Amino acid sequence: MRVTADQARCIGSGNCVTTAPRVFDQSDTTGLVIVTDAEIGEGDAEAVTQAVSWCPVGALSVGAWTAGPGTA
Amino acid sequence: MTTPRPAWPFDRASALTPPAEFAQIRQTCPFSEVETWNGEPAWIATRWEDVRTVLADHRFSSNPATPGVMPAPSEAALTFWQNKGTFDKLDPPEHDHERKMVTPEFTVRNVEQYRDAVIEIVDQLLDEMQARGGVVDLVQAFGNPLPAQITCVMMGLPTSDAPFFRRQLLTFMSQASSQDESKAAMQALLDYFDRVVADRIDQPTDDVAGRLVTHHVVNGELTREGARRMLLDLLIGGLDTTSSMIALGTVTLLEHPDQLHLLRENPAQWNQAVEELLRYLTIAQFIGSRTATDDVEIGTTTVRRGDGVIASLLAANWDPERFERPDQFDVTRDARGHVAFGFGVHQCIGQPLARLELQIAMPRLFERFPHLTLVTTSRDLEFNRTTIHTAKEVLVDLGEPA
Repeated sequence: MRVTADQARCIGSGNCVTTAPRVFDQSDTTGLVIVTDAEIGEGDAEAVTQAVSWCPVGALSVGAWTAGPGTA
Repeated sequence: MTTPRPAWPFDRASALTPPAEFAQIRQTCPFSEVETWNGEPAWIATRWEDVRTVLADHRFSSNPATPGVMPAPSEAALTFWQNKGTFDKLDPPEHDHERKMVTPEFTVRNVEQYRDAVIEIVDQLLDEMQARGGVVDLVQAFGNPLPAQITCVMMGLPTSDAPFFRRQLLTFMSQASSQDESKAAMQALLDYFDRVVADRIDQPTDDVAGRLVTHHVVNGELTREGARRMLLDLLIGGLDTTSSMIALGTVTLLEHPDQLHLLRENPAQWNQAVEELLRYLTIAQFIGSRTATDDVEIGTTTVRRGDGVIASLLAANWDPERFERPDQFDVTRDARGHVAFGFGVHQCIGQPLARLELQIAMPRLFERFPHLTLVTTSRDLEFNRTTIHTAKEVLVDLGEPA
């Protein structure tokens, strides 16, 4: 399981950092998402899936996840 | 269709629970039409899924200047939105450009730096309440001053100015104020922040206001007008919202003693309880109005360009498809994924700060005053008719402190 983050979409809400703190961080200078560990271990899989689902701007993707219509 | 469109906004079924109409609409036709105060039609989304879809889709505009219907709960709300001139009423890419100027200030890590300051303010307010004893208004004594003072700390303003903000904002928001009084209050606030910006152009400071000026005003990226409006908007966004969550959150917990008992037994559950309070109360009851800039399919419905859409955060957070038995206030529930802070690019920029304040203020209040009781029950509460669900006062008897 691999996670990627689209900085162009990110608004720095911090949802992912609170949900999966071992995987996501925010840049101190831009406030935008940083993936600290793209290879997700089993222990973080659920939290990462939640973070992907709760990201308000669909900036995170994992596995076969694709953005919904019109979110681009 | 021959049935008349129901008039929106609907009255809440009770002080703390959503209008009954949401459940009816969700069951019969979850994305259907209502009529706003000025007789205009608007779509209302009542399912969690649909609310998220609308709010995440850039074809729905937040800008009141977009041609078409911008469904507002009242004329006053619409006028306020039209005159804001801040990024929450802009669409991408202009929105993103302005929001990014303050995004670094509200990262989870940066906000965490204010933890000690929040604890200090909370404890000082609790000390003052304890010194007074007896019956106090939780809104005045605790809910209002906490966010006002922490905003002062972040922006580098004297905390003694906090009562000034409160007074002017109250005059500005109150239905009891005349239009002239309301205008004068807004002008006083804008003048105040104009001086804040001007002072920092002369003498740079290392605070939210100072960094905004140094990095974005001095180089001409943001006008002085834009900066003072942005600072005022950051202030407004954090005050009534946090205050109301503290006041109504306390009422909710005291009226669900079994849930409060669970938290006393297991204080580690407080953070989860805060998320459930955010979901259950969803005080941002009239946030989420949009205008379609294109024809958009929502389920089987076609929303036409220019149509107004209400993506109801409150209805979404009470969608039984997403939150089982949504009417049960349950602190053991994992309520994360709620949309109390909105969804899409406009999701609340201050949410890490709001969480920090609530996660500190709520448990400390109940630790300090373990015998806290309600004088005003939810049945007796009177509410301000504003876009945020706020009680005029919440009287509590503090009882013997711990």
